[in-house]
Amino acid sequence: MITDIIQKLMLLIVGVLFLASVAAILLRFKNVNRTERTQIFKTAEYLNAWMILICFVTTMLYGIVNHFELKKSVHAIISLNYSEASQALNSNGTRYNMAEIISDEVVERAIRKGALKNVTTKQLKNCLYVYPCVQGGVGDETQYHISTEFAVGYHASKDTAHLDSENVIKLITSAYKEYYIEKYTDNFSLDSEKPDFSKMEYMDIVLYFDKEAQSILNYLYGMAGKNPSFVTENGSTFNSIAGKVFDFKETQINQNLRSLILQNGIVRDRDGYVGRLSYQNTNVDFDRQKNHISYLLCNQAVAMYSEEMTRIVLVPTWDKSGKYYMGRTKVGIDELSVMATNFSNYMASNEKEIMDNNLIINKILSNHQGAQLSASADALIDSIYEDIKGFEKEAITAGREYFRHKMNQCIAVSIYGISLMSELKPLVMFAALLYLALVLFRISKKFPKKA
Amino acid sequence: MKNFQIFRYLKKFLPFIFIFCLLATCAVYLKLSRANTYIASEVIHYNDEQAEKGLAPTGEKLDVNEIKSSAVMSKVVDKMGLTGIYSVDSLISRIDIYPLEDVDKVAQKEAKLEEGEEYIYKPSTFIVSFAATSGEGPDFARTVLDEILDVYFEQFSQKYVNVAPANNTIENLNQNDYDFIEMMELIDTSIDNALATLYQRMEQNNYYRSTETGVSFAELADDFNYLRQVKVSSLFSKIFKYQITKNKSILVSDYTTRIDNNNISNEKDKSIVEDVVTVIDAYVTKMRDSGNTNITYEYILDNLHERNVQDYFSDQTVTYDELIYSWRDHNESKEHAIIDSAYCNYILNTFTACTGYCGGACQFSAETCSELCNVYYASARAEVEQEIDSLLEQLTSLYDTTTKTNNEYNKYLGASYISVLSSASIRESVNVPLYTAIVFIFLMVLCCGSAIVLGRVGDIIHYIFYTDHLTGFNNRAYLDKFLKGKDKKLLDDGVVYCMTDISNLVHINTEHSRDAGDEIIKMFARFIKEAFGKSKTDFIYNGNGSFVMLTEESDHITVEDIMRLFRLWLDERDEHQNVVIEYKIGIAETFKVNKTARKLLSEAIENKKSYLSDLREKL
Repeated sequence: MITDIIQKLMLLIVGVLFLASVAAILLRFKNVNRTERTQIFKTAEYLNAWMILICFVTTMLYGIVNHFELKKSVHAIISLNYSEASQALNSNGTRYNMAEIISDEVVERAIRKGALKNVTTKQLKNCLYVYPCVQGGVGDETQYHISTEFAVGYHASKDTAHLDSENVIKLITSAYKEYYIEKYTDNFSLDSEKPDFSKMEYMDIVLYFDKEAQSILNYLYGMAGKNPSFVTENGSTFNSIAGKVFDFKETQINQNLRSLILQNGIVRDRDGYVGRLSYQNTNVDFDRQKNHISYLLCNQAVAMYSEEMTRIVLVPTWDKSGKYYMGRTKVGIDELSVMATNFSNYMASNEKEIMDNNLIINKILSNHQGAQLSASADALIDSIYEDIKGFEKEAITAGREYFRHKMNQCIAVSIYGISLMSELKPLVMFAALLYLALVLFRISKKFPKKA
Repeated sequence: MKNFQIFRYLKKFLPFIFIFCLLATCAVYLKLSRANTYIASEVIHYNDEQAEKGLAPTGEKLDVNEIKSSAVMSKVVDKMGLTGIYSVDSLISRIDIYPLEDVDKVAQKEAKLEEGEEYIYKPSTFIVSFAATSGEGPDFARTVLDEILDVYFEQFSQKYVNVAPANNTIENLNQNDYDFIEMMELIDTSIDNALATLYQRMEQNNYYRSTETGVSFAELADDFNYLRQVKVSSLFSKIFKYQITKNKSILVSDYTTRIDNNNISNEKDKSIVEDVVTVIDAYVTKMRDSGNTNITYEYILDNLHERNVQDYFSDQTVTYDELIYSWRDHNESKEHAIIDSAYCNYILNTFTACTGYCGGACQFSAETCSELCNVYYASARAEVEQEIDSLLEQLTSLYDTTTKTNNEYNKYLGASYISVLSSASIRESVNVPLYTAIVFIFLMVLCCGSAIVLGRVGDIIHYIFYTDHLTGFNNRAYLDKFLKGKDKKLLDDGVVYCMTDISNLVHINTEHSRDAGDEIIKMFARFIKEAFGKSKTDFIYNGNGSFVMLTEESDHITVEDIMRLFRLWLDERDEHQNVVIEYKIGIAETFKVNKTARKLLSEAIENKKSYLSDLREKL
């Protein structure tokens, strides 16, 4: 703030001196005739040691002040290195928006990250600006351009003068990188809180584990779809990890744990659980009845078709060479047959569910579980939970490694401070103006006040 | 009158013209800069092939002007925190959308139309622009345009691609005084709908995973299924087991009404099914009688060749199929209603069943048997209430995640259906430097033209009012004006004023006639002009035979020499040798001491010396 005032004051003084000298010369111009005027300008001392000294000292002083002023401004270049950037997309396929670089979330994050004091988000945001390094045009297709490099600039205001400019821009770019990676690169995590298994039915725990393992598998299959040949530092591929998780899911969850619980009828609330399964059976049976009737109706509808009406099930169409031919098309009987098959599948699924539930009910009712079996089931549950968490970690690590590799550090940042030229340019201009003002001042003194 | 010399006029006014034009140009520059607007433009392209037929992916008409709809803009205003600062309408008025036609497609369309063939082509590439004032700056224009397109992409996907949302219809359900079984039925239906939507999404993109929520649609569906299988069924079973209800009478009435409604619906469907069967029979009979059932495919192909049909997108479902579907649908509706009635009976039986502990009192009571005699009823009911609250909380959170995932999916789809060909670029509505240069040139031309006109008018005025027509010199009025003009100015060094008077002009006029006097004056003027030659001199005829020569950049000696030459020429003249001319010459020069014009003129008058030119002896 002080440097700003000093800088402006110095410029003001030089400016006033220059204008006053010019004004004095103009006002006293008529006090001398042309010959005298020419003489004054001819004999003026354009090179004077004192003037040079004053000019040098003042310019140096101005240079110091200017240096501090320039230090208030700094800018950084943010480059988007991932492949989707050239289509103006974020890495998750959504539209890229440059304004997010200085969005409230990013600025807030930067303030938090740097523990910046005495500054609000709005105050800091007002000091920031962003623009594309290269912008195209819309005149014709040759001018089209998708910007992938953006300059973010910072110029301190009086509210943020106490902050180090370079630090602020580093914080902003770093916060943006974090924000971007968090928001636009794949993230995956399971429930962070461990459920209270002691309050859950054993069969529900099996379902829960199955769901969690399936989530990991979905993530890994999705990643494998993006790059099936990617190999992690540990030498694994997404498919190899998925294979491990699949085997674990089938063996440990669906066979070992489920079998242990099922065959020994291990249950926490026998009546409650059996009641629940009975309700499910009743409910599923209503669905089964509906599916069964739909299946029958579809079959009846197919049977209803008159032979004469189904004879022509060919429709005119044409091949790639543009020649017409009669192609068979789907008509009612085809559609209805497919529907009947679907309903039959649903019905089978309903029946299987009922049978599964009945099996569980029978096992529970016919077995009298011991405390030892429950304890071994609990131990297996804890072990499976830990294993699932281990797989989750492995999957996430592999995913992050892939993104690091794929996105080539998706966002690269370069920070630019003050260049020598940007320091020298105002210095030279100031020196020139000051020297000119001094020369004019001395010349104005030679003009008589009166004619 | 002086000759018409363009450069003479320009030379006189050029510095003023230049300064004026410079100042005026500065003013114009400032004005243009302030009035200038920044226009941010972006080129977007609809990737869907239907777009070139003017249709959205759903087959509806594609209206690009939705970009500047108030629905989009109000979201932008809200998102950017501009509420209360800008009105939605004022921002909408600043948006422009220009279609960019594909030249090849347009030519193809014209060619097809010329041949009388139908060809639909609509541009699918557009320039979208937003204008910001100079005060708002270019960044504002770019930011608003970016936000507009962000919101539009998402909305486009919502409206035309990813149309079915998974809505949370059960939020705060526990605060609406529903009965427990009704609440559970609503929850079950809501989960059913959410699952249907999620399965639809999974079919479209099985491995899509939101980067914000970190979940895929499949995982969300698994979560909903898990809750349904574990929590929902557990609650249903508890409600049934303990016959938990808020009001048995209402519950019984409700399910009895459902059964009645199903019965009525059954009757209606039964009647429709009978009618449809009659129509089917009549249709087949008529088709058979008319010979339509014997058409061969060769007949159809021949027909087709004649029509040269290439595009055939209309629905090809035949009436017969529709009739069969109708039969099936109505039958299904009828049978499902019977099953629904069975379900309602099941509920009624469950809630009206007597466990035997109440001694049959529940049959005539407004309360269920468990409510009357089961000691665990109160705790079971509290437990169910608590579990429903917890389930709703979990479902609401799951719905929120679904909405977030879906929103991101919409953005993703929007960006895949509409691509950006050129990201936002800024241009100024007026090219200020160019227009400023044009203004400067225009002003210069205008001012120079005016200077020439004014200069020439000045010449005319000078000729009429300030020229002595006898001698061609400036007249007395000019001298007066000149002296007045020089009143407050100091004369430069080297200014020499010279005065020449014909002392005996009156005598000449009297003795030799007035014409002779005029001839003498003309002769004097001629000699003076010739003698001063190319020196920088203003010649003035002051009347009554008095001449004033105002010479600059000279000196006393030079002017003396000139006047000596003048006298020589006068003494050697070939004309009017019989006329004796008496004349005076006075010369004064500024040197070192500054003098005013009047003083110098007075000094010249004072310095006058008399001369005589008498050539009568030569005759």
